Amino acid sequence: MKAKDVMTPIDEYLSPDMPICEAVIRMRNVKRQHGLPIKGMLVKNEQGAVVGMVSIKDIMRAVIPSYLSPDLSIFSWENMLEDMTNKVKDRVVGDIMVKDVVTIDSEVPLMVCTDLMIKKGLQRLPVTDEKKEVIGMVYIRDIYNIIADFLTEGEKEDGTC
Amino acid sequence: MEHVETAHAVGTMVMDSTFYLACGIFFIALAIIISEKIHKTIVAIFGASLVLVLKILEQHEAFHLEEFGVDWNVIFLLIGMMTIINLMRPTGLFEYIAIRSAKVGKGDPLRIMVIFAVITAVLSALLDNVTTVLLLAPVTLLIADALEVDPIPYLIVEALASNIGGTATLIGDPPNIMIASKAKLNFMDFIIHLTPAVIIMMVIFILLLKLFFGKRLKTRDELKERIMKMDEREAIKDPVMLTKSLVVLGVVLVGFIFHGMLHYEPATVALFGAGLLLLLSGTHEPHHVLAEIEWPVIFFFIGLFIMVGGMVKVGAISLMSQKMLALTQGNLFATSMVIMWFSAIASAVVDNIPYVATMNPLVIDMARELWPEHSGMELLQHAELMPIWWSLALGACLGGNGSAIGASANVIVVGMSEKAGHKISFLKFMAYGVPVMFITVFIAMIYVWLRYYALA
Repeated sequence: MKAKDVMTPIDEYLSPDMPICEAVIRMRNVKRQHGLPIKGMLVKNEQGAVVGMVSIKDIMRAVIPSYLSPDLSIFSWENMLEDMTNKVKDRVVGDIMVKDVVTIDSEVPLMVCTDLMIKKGLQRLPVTDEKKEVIGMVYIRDIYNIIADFLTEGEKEDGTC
Repeated sequence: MEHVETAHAVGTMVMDSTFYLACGIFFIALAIIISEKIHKTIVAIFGASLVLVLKILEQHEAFHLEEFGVDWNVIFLLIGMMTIINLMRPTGLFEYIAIRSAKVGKGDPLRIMVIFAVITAVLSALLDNVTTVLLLAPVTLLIADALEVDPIPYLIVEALASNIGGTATLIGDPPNIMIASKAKLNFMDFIIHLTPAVIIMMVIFILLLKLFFGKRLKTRDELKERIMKMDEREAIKDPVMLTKSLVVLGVVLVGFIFHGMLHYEPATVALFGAGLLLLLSGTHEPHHVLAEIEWPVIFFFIGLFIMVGGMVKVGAISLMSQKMLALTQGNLFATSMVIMWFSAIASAVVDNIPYVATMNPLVIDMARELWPEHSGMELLQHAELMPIWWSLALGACLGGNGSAIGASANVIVVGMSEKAGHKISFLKFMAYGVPVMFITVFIAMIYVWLRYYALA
């Protein structure tokens, strides 16, 4: 199987000058086929080129002050998370997005997708066509589901296999 | 000390091609370092390799001769102290001290600034400046956020205090380490001669902070509560290792105090401490600790020593020392003042490590010109030469405050502040740094004049 066989087409994007709060609303409103909100979206500029990706992790990362480390976060005050979140409210998508997005060609086999996701810690892989234009997204859950189907081929009624 | 024939006296000096090669390599390397086009360590290593490849120095001279070669005393003192600090860092001691200090300051922004300036100065005198600000800056940013005050003045004050504090001891700042090794000065010499001056500077520095920031730093009482609620004891993650580290640090400090009397070099003391703490730590993976040594700094030193060694051998340094003596007409008070101010300005612009590496042989050469009948310790620590060494140390260390790139601690602070979203422009740093540099060097000037000339 190839990337194109499991990818989900994308039709909603974020833009670099969009405030973070708007990106959050967009992400909340785009539902995956399993009914839960999407956890990451691509960013397209005015010219229609993909310039980055924002995931919920990037939004969480933006809230952590650069000086904080596990040694120091024990000294945080009660509502520090709220204070720090308020500080990033007026920042835009372009400030927090990941700029070097790893993409794959639609003809790439799923073994390569799986390897890339695990080795590079990626949750989703944008899929491009022969013109290098993004046409869809392969999500880690979808690949896992395929693996899970293979693993449970001999599944019995009582939950053993 | 070994006395290898240093080139040739000026009258007979032949400015052959090696003379120009040695100077060319050094000054081109210096220009590239200032331009920051290539990393300074790479420039220093390549420059040093050229000195050897072009036979300006024989490898034997570069590796084994005190006069031309690498100063291993400096190298191993740095390696030893870095190892000790790397082992201490994860214990949480520094976070403990910082949080504790903020609580002693009762969450008051001005009091915290003053206390942080003092602990930065003291820690910088005992450890290196970069480590001190690296450890304190994150806590400072956290406390400033908690108090909702601008962190920039705090961070700049810490960088300035670390450069002032580092001036106080032999191990406080690289220029002092290098001067001590060349002039065979011991830890107590620095305590007796430089620490009093630094204490005076710190008192005045703190008075200035109070005067300048007294009304500007404000916070609300409920924000002070955030500080008071922090429990500094949580910072200590490994009390057993902390105890071992403190014992070894104690041993090392006692070792430094007595090294002159016991005829040990400072590097021996630092290496003993490093070895002892590595042993006590029970680590089976020393490569982690050793990998954290700042090898780029170490190799920067090695490269510079060899490049400067080349200039010493070809006689370029003696030429410069004669120019210096001609300029001050052999008046030693004038010489020490010129060296102090020139060192301060130069160190604000250039890294003070290559500067002091060049000045050290220059001062020794000058002494040889002045007192040809003396040699060894009598020459290096000639009563009239001592104020010159102290002027060099004071100028080179305090000059670091003159600009954002004047000292490594400044560069670290500016970088961390920018990363946290508080950009410190070059001019903003200088608005604080330049007055502090002038005031402290002025105090140093009065101090040297009174202590070694007027009241001597």
